[in-house]
Amino acid sequence: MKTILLVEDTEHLAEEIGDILRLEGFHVLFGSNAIKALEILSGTTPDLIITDLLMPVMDGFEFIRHVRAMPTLAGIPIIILSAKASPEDKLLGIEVGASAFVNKPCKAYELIARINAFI
Amino acid sequence: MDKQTILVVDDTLTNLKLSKDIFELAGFNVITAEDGELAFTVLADHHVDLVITDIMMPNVDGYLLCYTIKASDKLCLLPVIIYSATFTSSSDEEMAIESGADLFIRKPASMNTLVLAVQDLLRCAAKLIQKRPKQPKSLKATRLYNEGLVHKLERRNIDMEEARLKLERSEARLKAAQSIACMGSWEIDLATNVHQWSDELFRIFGSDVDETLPCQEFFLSFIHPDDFEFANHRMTTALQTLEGSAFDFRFLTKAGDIHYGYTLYRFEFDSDSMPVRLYGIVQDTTEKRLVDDALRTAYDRLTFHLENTPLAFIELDDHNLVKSWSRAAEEIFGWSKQELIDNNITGGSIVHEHDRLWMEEQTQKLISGEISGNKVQYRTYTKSGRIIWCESLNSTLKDKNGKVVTVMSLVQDITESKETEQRRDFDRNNLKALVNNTNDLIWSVDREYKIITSNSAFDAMVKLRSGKIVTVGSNALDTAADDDQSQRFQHYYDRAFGGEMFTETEHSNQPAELWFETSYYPIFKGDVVVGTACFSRNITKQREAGDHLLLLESVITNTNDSVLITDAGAKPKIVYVNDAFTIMTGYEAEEVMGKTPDILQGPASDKKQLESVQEALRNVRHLEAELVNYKKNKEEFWNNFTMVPVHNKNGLHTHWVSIQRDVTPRRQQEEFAKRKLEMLVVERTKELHDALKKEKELVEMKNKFVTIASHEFRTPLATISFAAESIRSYFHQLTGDEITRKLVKIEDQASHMTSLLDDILTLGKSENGKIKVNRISLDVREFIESIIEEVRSTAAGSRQINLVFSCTDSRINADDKLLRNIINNLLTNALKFSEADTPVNVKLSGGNGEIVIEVKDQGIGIEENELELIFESFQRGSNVSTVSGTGLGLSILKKAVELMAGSVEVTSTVRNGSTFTVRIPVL
Repeated sequence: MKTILLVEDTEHLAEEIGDILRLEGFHVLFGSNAIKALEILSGTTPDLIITDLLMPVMDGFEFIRHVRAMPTLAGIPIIILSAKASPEDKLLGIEVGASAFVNKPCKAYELIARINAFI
Repeated sequence: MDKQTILVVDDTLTNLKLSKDIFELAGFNVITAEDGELAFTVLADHHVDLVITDIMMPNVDGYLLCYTIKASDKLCLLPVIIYSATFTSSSDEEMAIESGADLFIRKPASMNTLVLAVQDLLRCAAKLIQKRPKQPKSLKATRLYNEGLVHKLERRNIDMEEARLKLERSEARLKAAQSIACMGSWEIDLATNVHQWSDELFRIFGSDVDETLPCQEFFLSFIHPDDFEFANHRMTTALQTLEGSAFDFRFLTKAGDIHYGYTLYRFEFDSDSMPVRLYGIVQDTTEKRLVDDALRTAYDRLTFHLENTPLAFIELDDHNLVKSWSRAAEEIFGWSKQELIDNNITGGSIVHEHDRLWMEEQTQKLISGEISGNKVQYRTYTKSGRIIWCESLNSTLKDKNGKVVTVMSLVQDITESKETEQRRDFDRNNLKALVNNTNDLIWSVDREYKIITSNSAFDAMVKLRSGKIVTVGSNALDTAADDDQSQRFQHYYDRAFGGEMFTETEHSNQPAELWFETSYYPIFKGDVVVGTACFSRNITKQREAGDHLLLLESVITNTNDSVLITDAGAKPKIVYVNDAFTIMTGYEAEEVMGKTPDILQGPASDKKQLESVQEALRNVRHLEAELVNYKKNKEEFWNNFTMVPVHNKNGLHTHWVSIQRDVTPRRQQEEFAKRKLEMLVVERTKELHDALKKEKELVEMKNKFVTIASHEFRTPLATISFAAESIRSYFHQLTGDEITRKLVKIEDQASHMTSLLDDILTLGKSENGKIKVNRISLDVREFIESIIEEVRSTAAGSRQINLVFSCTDSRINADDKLLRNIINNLLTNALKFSEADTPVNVKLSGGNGEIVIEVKDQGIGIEENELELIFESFQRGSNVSTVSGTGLGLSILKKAVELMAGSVEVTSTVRNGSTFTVRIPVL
């Protein structure tokens, strides 16, 4: 079973995405903010990371930089799922090492298709 | 009665004319004929009453004419008079009568005799008309005629005798002539070898006539030894060849003098061509030779002079053809002698066309002998075509008959002097015109004060001044108006006679108020002053102008404005400054004279302005400018100046006049005002800049608001979307509870979005001034307690909210909706950002028309640097973590407070809680 780390500060949204991912047969790890997510990553290596951008304490870009800085996670696919989706944000996302960018809100199948493309 | 006609026959025309006149005067018709034959013709054609005839005439003589008339039937009654000088004897008269003549009159006869004889004869003829005319006796007449001829022969013999006597006389004359001509003759009878010498020949050789018999040896004995051989040879040869000849030789006279001789000799031959005589002449040519030599020398000298004189020597013959053309002529005219000899030059193109006609006339007068010489000046062309002036001295040479054979001319090229003369004439005329046309008085006097020359202006002035007419020689002192002036004049003249050159101003009130400026110049002849030349100018107007100028100058000097005058040069030099200039700049007039006004310029003088000054100078244009200038002490001052080009009356630009004024105080005021204005501008600019910045921030805020607002909507939308999709897609895999929870979530998120939308709209309304404050009277204690209760009931768990009420009056006037929103907001936030076990303390105080609502929590607090931003839209504290919110609550709160003219403050410490204080007027 593939493991996906979902980093999302909005609890109700995290729940809904998590439900869908589980129903699609993924094992889901939750990080309600970037710090917590990095804590998880220090002990576990998921197959893919989905992260929000606008989060308290550390934003998604900073989070990705930290992930990419970790040698074991340098090649892990990271999908940004964010309502903050200006062209600048997308460009910055790619620069820091994101693998894909999905706008909020989106269709569940679109997100699943993106995930399946990497796993 | 008709006039009677006389036929006069005579071969001498003068006689004929004389007779005609005489008889016509006497009242006759006269017909003339020149001989007997012509007389017959006349008689055949005309009626003639009487014939008068000469005897000796060609063709038909008088006798034959008379005889023929008397023998004719028709004419036998015609009276004939023979009027002749051919009278040698009385037989002539007889012969005339015999030949039938009615009368014989001897020439010369007086007029009266002739006329009376004719009249008598005509009267007789009229009487005899009926009588038988006397017939000439023909035989006797012939005989008489022959006798006449014999008589004539005798007469010729007598003539011959006379001729012989004449010959003798001429021989004597010859001898005398020989003597005068120093010429002797000789002859040799070749048959007898007898030599005969004329007396003169002996005399030539200095020998006595009877000394010896002349012979060849005797002749040779006189010959000069050097010529002896030659003479002997010539003589011998002559005798051998029998040919006449001539030669020159020298001979020694008996006295031993050397003489020159010339002999010419001929042979005489008889009918058989045998020589019979050798004869010749000897001439002593010594004197002739001397004369010849002298002549030759004179000729050579003359020729030399003619050839070497700078004057051209030209000789023309009587046909106007060139016979001599000297080297000087070649030089002057350019034509060589060869080109002009035997050519006509007066009529050709040599003489200038303007002078050609009268020159030809002059030459003709010379050649005709009308004048014997003249001196003419004329223009000619040289060979090269140049026009030159010539002066020609012409004279004529006449032959012994008085006929002109040559015209000689000495010609000089006077072009240069002619041109000089013309120039001098021109100059003199010019000078004369100038002197006489000037208004200045010009005159000169000699040392006797006598006027030598004067121009018309002087003459006119004297006439006005003294009433005297000026003539050369009048006393110059008398031209004065009075004695005083006369004395002054004398003094001036004396000074000039002393060699002084000076100018004096002379005032006169005669004939009007006049001022003259007179210059006196001594006239020198060598070292001696012989007179004074005077030039006087009427300066009355200048003096008047001068007075006027003095007035103007005093104005300029005393004006408060600085006046500076320069000349009109390329770099104008100061010629005048007034006192005001010195006061303004500190420069004394003498310091700046001759300098340019540039001395006033310095480093702060505006370059552009200076350039425009230069341009005005170049274009001679009026200019007004204001410049920083420098005083003598280097102090800067503002100089406002006007410069104006000044022209003299002829329109010639002569000066620049500049009026200058120190405008430093005004400039300083202006500078101050300018600086003030600049500051104001800077201030306003900053304000504007700030406003712009604010505006920009507002726009950015709005953009940000939209971005954040859209984000705030997207998150609940994403939840709703995922929840709804999972219900639909995974319906069968979900439990009933799970589905219910998702549906509740959808509802929650929808309501969140609704409240978000409400907040945004409220905020929008408040910002656009669409919310109207509607105050009502309410009990604030009741009002706040009900809100606290409401909030507490909806809060998760049980929260402690304490209220302290200390208002003097609970009744207030306020907009209940706004007030509710404010209090609700404060309480909700306090609960949201604090732990459930911490209380929220509310303090409501007030009085004096306002209420103070203080809400204090013990929550997460707000970072100090975020306190300012916390009331902005969508701004949330960085430490809000997962606490939900639109970020609009405090914005709306603040708007509501402000709508009610109140204020809101916040104090906070992170993790210790925040205190919000709202003050609202409530009257």
